[in-house]
Amino acid sequence: MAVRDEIGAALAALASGEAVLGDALDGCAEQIEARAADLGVFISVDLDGARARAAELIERDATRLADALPLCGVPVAVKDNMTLPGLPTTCGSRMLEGWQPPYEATIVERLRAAGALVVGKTNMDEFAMGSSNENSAYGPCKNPWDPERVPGGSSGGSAAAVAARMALGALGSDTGGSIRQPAAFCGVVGLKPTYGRISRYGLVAFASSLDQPGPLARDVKSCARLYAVVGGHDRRDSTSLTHPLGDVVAAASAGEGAIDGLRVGVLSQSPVQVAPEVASGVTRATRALAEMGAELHEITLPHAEHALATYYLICTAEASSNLARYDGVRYGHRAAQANDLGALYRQSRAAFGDEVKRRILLGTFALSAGYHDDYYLRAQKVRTLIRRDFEKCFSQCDVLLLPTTPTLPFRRGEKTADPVAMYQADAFTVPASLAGLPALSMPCAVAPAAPEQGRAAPLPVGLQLIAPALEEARLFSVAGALEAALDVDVDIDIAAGGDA
Amino acid sequence: MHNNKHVDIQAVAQLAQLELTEQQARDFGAQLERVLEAFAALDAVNVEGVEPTTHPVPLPCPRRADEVTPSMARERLLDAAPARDEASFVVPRVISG
Repeated sequence: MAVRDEIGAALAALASGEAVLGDALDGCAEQIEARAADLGVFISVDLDGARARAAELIERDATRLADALPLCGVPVAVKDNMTLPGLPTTCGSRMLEGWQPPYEATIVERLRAAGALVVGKTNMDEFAMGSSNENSAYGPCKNPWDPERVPGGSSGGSAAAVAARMALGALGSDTGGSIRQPAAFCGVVGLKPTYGRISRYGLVAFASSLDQPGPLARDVKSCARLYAVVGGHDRRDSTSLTHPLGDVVAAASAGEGAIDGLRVGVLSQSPVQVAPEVASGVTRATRALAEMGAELHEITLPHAEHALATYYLICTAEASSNLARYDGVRYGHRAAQANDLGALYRQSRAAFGDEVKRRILLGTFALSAGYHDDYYLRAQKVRTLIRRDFEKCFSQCDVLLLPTTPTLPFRRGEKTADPVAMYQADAFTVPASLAGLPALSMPCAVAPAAPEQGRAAPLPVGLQLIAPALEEARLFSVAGALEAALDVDVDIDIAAGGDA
Repeated sequence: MHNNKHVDIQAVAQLAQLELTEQQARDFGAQLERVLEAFAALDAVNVEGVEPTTHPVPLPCPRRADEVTPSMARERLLDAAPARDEASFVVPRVISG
């Protein structure tokens, strides 16, 4: 089985002269022009900018550059909570509508320096708060597999852009699953690295002890290629780790040898109910690993059932503090008619959407006098217990394998009225976020269309691999071997326009 | 702790500098109470003697050399503000007279 490596193939074609720089961009531009607006994938598209950058690279001798620049001519999409001067950074919010950032995010700078062509800024839940991309002030993003369904969130636009071939890779950010859950719902590969692996400089803050940017791509090795470029220490982020990344690109094609004797932990009991299509996809992957020589260990995460409550108390508390900066003074929306400073703050902050207000209120409450110890401090202590659960697991196994999401992509509007039901979508992703651990989601199956069950189109199923801190290379090697063994067909029938 | 199911949503909104309409106060208040109810299971967890986690990866914080580098240009920052004058952000008058 050949190793999947779409970005590598594009680079090789360029280096051999088989393709010219700009070919890959043309392909993506075609998809963007055909479907991006209908699907709500981008908040701003910049094909002219991407073409201008391509022309610059061609002038610098693209064939030679293909060897030197690890993402030469590769079209990428960037989530709209990362700053890129020249394009607005809205965070999916009216609060930052039209805001032109005065500085560039480290990750965007590294992408561009590596020769990547940024095709646009992707749609997202407002301030990355959501699991369905329905909380965007610029309209929902839809799932390219079935536009009646959500692409996941909050990096829904990034996952949809990659799935619908509007970019070969994308950057997202993950606070409690915002890369992994949309990756699973859109049938692509997404990595949330160890907290601190990728710089947050230029990433608009949501919950600072949890936020972590990461790459999405259509295959494991392409995802590793993006990570190798954007990861690593950045002196402008004081939480940025200094440890070397290792050769993650080689790890992604290490093959079956990486699995022989690997100790894989599987949950003996799920903290939430899992849809049968998801359960069978994950079981299939577990069997494939066993066939390649992995040892399976049943493990428990006794405090995982408390992860959602812990996560939502901590992330909202941090968000209430981080979002206090939107006061109508230094940037963002400013109310026109405020007579005093208090009124200016309150009236300007009316530009936040409902979910953002809900979370600021919950976080403010959890931090308020008389409640702080019972809510926020207690959640921070349970966070310690969740971290210890993982430490214990990793004394018995090398990676954990679990579903990324409890369900298949759900229908738009299905959960919008009930925040608690929406939060459940993150049940499998928040534990690794709380523990700061690297976790990768990859497709493990496709559930066929089943009109009798209300499923008009085939839908992808994601599985999640979690490793100890700093072990991203291990994730890529296991995921690479699994991808080859499972050979899941995640190509959407683009000609069908997703209207199946 | 969670016996107190009623949340004074307007008081919380005031702390958060958010203005809520009557309708929003009713909706958000009810949703917040429902969320807190769903989270009440956290009460049952024994956290006696457990240290809180503030940083998820307890690795030493790297230190960099204390070098003087230029700050971001003031003009660019002021330009991103919704209201400015020559050298400052503009806010409504805070002192009367």
